[in-house]
Amino acid sequence: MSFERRLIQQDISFGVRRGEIFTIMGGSGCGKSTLLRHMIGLLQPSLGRIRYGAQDYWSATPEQQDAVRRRFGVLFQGSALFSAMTLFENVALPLQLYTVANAVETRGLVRYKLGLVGLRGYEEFYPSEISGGMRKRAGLARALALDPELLFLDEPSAGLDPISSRRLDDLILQLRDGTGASFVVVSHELASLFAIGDNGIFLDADSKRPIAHGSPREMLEHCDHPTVQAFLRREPVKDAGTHDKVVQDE
Amino acid sequence: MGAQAANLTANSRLAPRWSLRKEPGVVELALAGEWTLYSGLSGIPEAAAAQIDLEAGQSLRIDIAGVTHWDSTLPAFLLTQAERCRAHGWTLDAGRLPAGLRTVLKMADELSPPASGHVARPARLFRRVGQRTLQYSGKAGEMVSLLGEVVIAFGQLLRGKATYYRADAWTVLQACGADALPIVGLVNVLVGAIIAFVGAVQLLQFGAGDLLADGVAIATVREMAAVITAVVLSGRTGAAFAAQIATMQGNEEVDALRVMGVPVVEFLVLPRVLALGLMAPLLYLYACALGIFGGFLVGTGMLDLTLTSYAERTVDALNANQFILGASKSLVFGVMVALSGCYYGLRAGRNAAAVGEATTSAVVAGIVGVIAVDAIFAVCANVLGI
Repeated sequence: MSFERRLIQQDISFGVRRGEIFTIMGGSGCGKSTLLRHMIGLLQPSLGRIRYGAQDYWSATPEQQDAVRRRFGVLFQGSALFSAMTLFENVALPLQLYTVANAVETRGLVRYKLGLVGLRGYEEFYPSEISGGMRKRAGLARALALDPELLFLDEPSAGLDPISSRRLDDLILQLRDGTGASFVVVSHELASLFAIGDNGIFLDADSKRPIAHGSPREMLEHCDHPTVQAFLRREPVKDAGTHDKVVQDE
Repeated sequence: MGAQAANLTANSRLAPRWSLRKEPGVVELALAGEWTLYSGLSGIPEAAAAQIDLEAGQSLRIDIAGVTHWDSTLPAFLLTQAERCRAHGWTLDAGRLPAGLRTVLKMADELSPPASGHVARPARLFRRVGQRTLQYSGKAGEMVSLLGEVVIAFGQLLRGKATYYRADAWTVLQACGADALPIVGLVNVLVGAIIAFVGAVQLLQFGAGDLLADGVAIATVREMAAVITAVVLSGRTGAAFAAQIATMQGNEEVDALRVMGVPVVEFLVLPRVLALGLMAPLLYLYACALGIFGGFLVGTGMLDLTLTSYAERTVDALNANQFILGASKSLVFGVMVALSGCYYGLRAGRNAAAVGEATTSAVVAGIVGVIAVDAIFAVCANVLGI
């Protein structure tokens, strides 16, 4: 995985199971968001494959890639809501583009999706008229529009106060339980990681490869890599040697 | 008692369908088929809204035993029914629904606070006219106020107390001046040539082709060079000012300046107004030269005028007053275009669409303002005998 001929990460291999919340962890600049951008088809990996079920995304035809993209939803770090559209229009857009729902059905679906994230009644608001936490939830509602099997969340708690962050974590868990969708969450918010992570990977900026696999709690309890321990315990790194302990390889 | 079937299609095994079964105190809504985003509901929500009618206190029982496959379409439909039941005082009996469906329905219904509509009602015509009038007069007042702040900031600059970023001021000066030379030159050569071409056709009918150089020179120096240059600057530089400042507004850079105690007008507006005010008259002179050159190309090409005779007639037709009038207009146009760009940039909203709106408004206001002020200049020049 590289960006403009600069190696970002290598030897990354993991799978996400149905109904699992998979966390991508690591310090700032280690390539978490870049990995996510590779997974959602915005960047092509320099080597290797990204598979959705049996389908290799980058060897697929454009039509097959379109079909794959409809199987996942993405919540971007800044929500990426279209600022010139109301929340209703933001959530309705994918429904209007890709489903056969008529206006009445679309209205019902949008109200339901906004209801899932606690924003029913805010259909006519513009993104600039709501708070940061509400924007995140609205972005999540848009990501949920086509009932994706897999949701990618890029730093969902970034910029949120602890209460909003906790509420978003609860919402993610409820959505996972309610819809059965899988989640891939990029985050370095420890409280969120421990609250929602079933499984995960820890990327190291120095060695440019993953140094731990497993849930955040498993990593905390069983991984003795100083970078992982320092990260999960919010402590300075004691020994930044070339340690390569892996908790749970897949 | 009785079953009321609706919306049965040929492919009834898969198509979503519904029926109502009435029992004492309970109406059962039985759903069947595939309820998915990609199969569509073929008007079922509308039909259900028209036909489901219970008495107060009655229950609407949902049965989805016949549903073969469902996604969000089903809970979205049921949520609508739940809202209708609540609104009419009916009870929704969801006891027969599977646990997963009940969970998402509960989430969608309970997570949201009671709906608080935010629907803007369209105002009546007279109210709209009044609102627009107040809006425009308010904008005009704000623009004059901004001009006043610029004048004060200019005073600060003369006293050496203005706060501005020198590198930014030079960049703006370059963008307003040197970078605009190609487009201003091209447009004015073409306009000069067009004036000459149209004039030549008319003058030849009267055998007065010799007067072509006079006409081109006067039209260019008195009007066209100043106006065309201002229009080009409005579309190019004024729009850039508006977009740049609106983007800064969206990124909270303007707020950051205010918090740092930097006067926004001195820092952002004054360099731009001064740059365009300074460069517009210079660009006007350059535009005059190229406009006359465009006329010369057509004059010598179409009417076989010589370089000497064309130049002599041009010099004879012009005097210093006409240049002073044109340069004065350019100065005012430049300041106005810059003010318009900065004003719309500073009052832009904080989203991507606001940048586009600010740019459009700045260009429109700039061009309309240029034409309006040019008309005032024409009247004044006539009165003064220039």
